[in-house]
Amino acid sequence: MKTLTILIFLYACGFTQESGEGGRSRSEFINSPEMLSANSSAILYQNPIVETDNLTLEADADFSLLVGPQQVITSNQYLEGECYGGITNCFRVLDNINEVPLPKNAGTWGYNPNTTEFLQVNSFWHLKEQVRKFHTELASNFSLAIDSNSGRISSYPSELFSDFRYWREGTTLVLFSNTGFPNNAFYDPANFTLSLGEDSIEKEVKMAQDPSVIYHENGHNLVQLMMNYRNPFKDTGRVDLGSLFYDEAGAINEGLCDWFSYYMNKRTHVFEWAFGRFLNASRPLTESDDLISPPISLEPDSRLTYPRFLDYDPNFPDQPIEDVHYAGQIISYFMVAMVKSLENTCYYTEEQAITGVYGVFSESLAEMGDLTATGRNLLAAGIEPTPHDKYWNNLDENFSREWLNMVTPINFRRFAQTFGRFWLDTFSNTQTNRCPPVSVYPKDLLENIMDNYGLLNFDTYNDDGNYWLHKDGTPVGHSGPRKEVNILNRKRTTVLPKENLIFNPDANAPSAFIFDNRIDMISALQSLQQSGQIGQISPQIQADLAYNNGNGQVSPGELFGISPNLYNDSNSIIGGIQVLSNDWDHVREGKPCNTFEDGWPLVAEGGFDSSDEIIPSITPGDCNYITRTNGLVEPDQNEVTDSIYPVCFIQDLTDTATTWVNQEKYREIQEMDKSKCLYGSDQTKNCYINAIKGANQAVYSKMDPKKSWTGTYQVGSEPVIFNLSNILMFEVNKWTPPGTTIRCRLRARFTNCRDCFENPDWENDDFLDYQYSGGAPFRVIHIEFTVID
Amino acid sequence: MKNYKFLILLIALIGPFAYFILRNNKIDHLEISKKTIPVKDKIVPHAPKIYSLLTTPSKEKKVPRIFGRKIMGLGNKKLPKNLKTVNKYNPMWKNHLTKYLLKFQNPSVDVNVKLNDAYIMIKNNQGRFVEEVIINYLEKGERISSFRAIVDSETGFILNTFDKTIIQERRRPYPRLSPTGSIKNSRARRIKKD
Repeated sequence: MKTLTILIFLYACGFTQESGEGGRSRSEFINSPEMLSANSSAILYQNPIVETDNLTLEADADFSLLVGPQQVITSNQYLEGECYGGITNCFRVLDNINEVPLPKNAGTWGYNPNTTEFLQVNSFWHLKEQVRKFHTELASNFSLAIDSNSGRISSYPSELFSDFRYWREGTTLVLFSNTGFPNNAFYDPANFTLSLGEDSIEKEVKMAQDPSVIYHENGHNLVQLMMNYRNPFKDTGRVDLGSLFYDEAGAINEGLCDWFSYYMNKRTHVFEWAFGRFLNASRPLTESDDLISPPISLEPDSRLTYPRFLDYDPNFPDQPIEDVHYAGQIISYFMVAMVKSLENTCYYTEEQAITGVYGVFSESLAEMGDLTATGRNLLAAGIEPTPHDKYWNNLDENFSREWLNMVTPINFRRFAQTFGRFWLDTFSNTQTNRCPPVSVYPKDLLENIMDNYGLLNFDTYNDDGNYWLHKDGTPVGHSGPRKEVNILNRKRTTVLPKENLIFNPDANAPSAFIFDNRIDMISALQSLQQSGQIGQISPQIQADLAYNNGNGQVSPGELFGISPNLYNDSNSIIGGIQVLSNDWDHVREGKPCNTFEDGWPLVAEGGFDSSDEIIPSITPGDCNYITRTNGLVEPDQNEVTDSIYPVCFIQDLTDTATTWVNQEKYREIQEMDKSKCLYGSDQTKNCYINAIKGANQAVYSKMDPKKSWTGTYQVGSEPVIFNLSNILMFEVNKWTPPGTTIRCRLRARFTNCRDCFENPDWENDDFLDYQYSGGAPFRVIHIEFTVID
Repeated sequence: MKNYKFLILLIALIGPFAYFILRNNKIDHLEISKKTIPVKDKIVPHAPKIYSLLTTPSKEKKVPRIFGRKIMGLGNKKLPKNLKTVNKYNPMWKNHLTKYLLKFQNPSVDVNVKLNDAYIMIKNNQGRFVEEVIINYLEKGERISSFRAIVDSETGFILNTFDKTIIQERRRPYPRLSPTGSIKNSRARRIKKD
């Protein structure tokens, strides 16, 4: 009794355990049922580092000394929670995948805080709180957003609540709090689970002991929910934010998830315990954090700017890394800055400001993720939709997934532009009256903050969308009105013309790197397949890639990777460099059009003679006409003669001429049976060489001025290692005659590029979605090689 | 001395309550106010409508079917009359798919394909028999990655994928690749600054 009294006394006085050696005895009386109310448990509110303020806390921390006051967990028999709108079994927590549900302990959820049972209870409470806050505030934001008196158009669909789209139609999310997965945690949307692992060496350190990990991982669930608010599953399926091992959409996803931890605890740092203490992988969310060192600071000209700090790891600032988690910091820091700005400008509390920022990016994701391609809820705004309002973004319902994943992906530009538009519609709108002290939130202030983060890389807020159909003689997507950025606010953001992206001009530099090592390519294929990134591989390609000879050249029957050696010819950093090898509209009547910036090929070399075409053409099929439907023959579109084509052509050598022909034509010349094509007789356009779907875009985070990507990341004489996001993958028909010369016409661009996204012919309004089936928004680049046995 | 003992006892008794109260204050921010945003004082004529949207589950909709399957990709369009299909249902689709999913994998890797639903997917006014599946890759019985796929019901070919696992990892362990060769071809250098 005496010991008990002393321990209670020490605990009450805020005793925090000391690190180091010592035979500390575990205090098992804390959180015992007799001390608790029914259905309740003590809670570990913050991670142990924060609770103790001890940055060197040892792995065997006594959690009974760290838990705080009890909270009601659930009155249910097991750890199963309800959520908004009467969804029962909304989420549940289990120890691991095959474990039985944890029962109550004498009518309470009291378990020793040093046990994995407690971790289940604690994870459940944090998950419950986050889901409750997310839904409550969604309902509040939804009510404000679709009020027809608000003078704005929302992206929230009217069915958001009635169809339970705010929680995957009522499906149960399962959190596994103790999977043993080494140094990791993950979100598995296919099975709708969250899995929390442990430190691989300090096995007592569990990810579930750090609530910021729970908030972040469930944040991935919340981000995916928001991306799919407008997507009825049975009609469209779902879409993810991020589709490669590295891409800007994935980085934005990670940044938003870090912010979702701040959303819960208002702390601008994540993972101090789980990933920070023993793995040096915690992350700040603001420049004033102790982990951040100069030149980064809260000064307007020293923020974590795009694209300069895309590869910044504050734990290892001298070791740049191309990784979505670190690139995403630009977004999380920016979002925290927007919260602070709302507090300062509109006199919101931090809680109110957080809710406001959440509402803006929630609507932004709902619009951008729309697989139905309609983007907006006009009816809720009192506007009767007409055929002219059919497609706001992502081209159309047939190709929206491809447009979202690679053609018009959610990069830092698109995110900032959409976020900015919804911000102005919400807080700079006299009808919403959401910033009463100054009437409306100043547009210049928004642009100044975006500029501080290098995100003011667009000229208009694209209020008129991207639809091609004409209305009163003007494409709907250019019919305005649209808000323009005040260019005077662009002080730190750099926007460059696309001509700055060139091949490496060094006389000794290669045009492209080839990857055909058998073991490497099998490993790449395994990884791409396991992650669901790629769809089909030709049945011709053998399981052991037997034709891959690793000779650094392209051979018949090989599956190989290629990485164009591009170069930043400007004096500023460029970010989000992307090379596409998907099919596009660059062929007429089977012949390559020479109407793009490359001017290739001459008519004498096999190019189509388009000299009699009217410019701009309104005739489908013309070289000067770009398909509105990405080549799909819709009965109501009158595009029966227009189509898209693979990127690669083959050189046909005769005694009298050298011409470039498409693969079908070459097959005819070679008199090869259709059945020998890569995908058999049904697909002959890609008979000899095919860009593998899903591996048909290469992404590079950034290139320093006057450097290539390899030059940017070269350290000493060590060769730069590529990852899967950096290469395009192709498969070659095993029947390709050795000596065959192939030229692939690829398209490239970068994020802080003006004429890759804005059309100078329409006052720098954004290109219309269909134009990305053509060449205008891109650098058109060529890779040529000869197939050698 | 007696007073000292009394003081310790008093602190020991009151201390926990005081601490709990302080801790409760510390987490006040987790309590969500239902009115966190200042709302303009005005009569909102559509308020009942919004309230109804927030609270009323939609009526059980009759799910349209064709060939006994749900319809995917129809959107707001009408179902074409005399719908033609571009493929046929093949009961071996799952075998084809599983074989393909394991074709390039190590022998220690297994795959589990779980059929979730069956659809007719409408594209270009034509129908395609497709299956919606959850694909789980396993190694030593442990799930290593998962995703959802729409698969052709005749060939087992994967048409598109989503719901891919997102891993919170420290410095990615994915394959790192070194070039085996290069292309150096001046004819490929077509793009030049004007």
